[in-house]
Amino acid sequence: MRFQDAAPDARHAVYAAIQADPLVARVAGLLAAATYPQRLLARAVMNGESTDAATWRTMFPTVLGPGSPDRDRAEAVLAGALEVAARGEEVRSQLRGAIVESLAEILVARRSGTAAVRRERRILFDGVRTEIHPYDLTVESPGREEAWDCKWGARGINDDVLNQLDDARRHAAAEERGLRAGLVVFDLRASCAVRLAERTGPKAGLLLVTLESLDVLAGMKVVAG
Amino acid sequence: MSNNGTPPTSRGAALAVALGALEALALVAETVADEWTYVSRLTASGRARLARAAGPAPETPLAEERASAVVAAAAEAGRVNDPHRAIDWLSTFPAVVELAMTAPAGIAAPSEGATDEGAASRDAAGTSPGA
Repeated sequence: MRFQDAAPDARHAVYAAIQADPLVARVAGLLAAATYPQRLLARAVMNGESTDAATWRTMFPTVLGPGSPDRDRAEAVLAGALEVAARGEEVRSQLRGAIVESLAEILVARRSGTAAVRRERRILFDGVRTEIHPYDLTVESPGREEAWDCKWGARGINDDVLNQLDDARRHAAAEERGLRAGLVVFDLRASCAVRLAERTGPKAGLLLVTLESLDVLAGMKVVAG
Repeated sequence: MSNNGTPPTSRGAALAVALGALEALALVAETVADEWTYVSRLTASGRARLARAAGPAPETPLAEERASAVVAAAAEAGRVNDPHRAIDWLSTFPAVVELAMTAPAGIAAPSEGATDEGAASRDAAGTSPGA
């Protein structure tokens, strides 16, 4: 098993520009340190119609109201999410995807170290035809390899993704290597459960990290309130 | 919003507002024919989440700022006309209402166990990649 950069193509060039947007790094950085309610706020705003902050402050009194802890960060999350929402529909969608990937990268790097975490990489196995699509995120520490696909919403979970992740895991096992493969979904666990239940693709052994549990990527235990 | 245009004052009335918004969202979302099953199941999941958030005693008073939050969330859901965005909102909306109705001020957490992240595969459930 070895990792390889994905061959640059037109999609790669467009997406690289999106990933390089400073707004992506700013929002991802804020979300990496955010709480579950702050992340839920970000998801709602980036998916919402309203672009005035007052509406969202009314909707999230326990996050943005007087006396809310870490209110400055919550306000910064709100401001960043509103900037994303203000973009056109297509750009907004691209930015959201890039933010989830960047957020996952930041969190995984806290556990694995920055040098081990790579983006847009393919995984090659002996005697196996290479997948065309790269993995969004890989961890390439010898003996602790991981492959992650990142999704803005549960709806993005499809059988192709499930098959690709499962293939990687099985091919690694055939080479007597361990590979942890999973999905990072910036959506609610319950919605992912609904989506996965209707998919026929392989799910056994799949790691699933959702909006409620993102901090496990950084190796942190998530404490339910 | 209740029938007379004022924010709901009880958890049961707030639940009615939220359920109405959820059903309206579902009507928009289900126009995506390929996703009808997903939308249907997501709506059912959302109903259950909202009911849990409201609690077993519908007559229990709800603080004004929480009631206003539910009304604001329902209004935002009502602004969604795009069916694809409606599907995303069907997922998000119940959790937003849950947060508004159940979270201690500023110290909010989901009612569903955050550590139990394996939605479909018990093999993956609760498996932290950092473990």
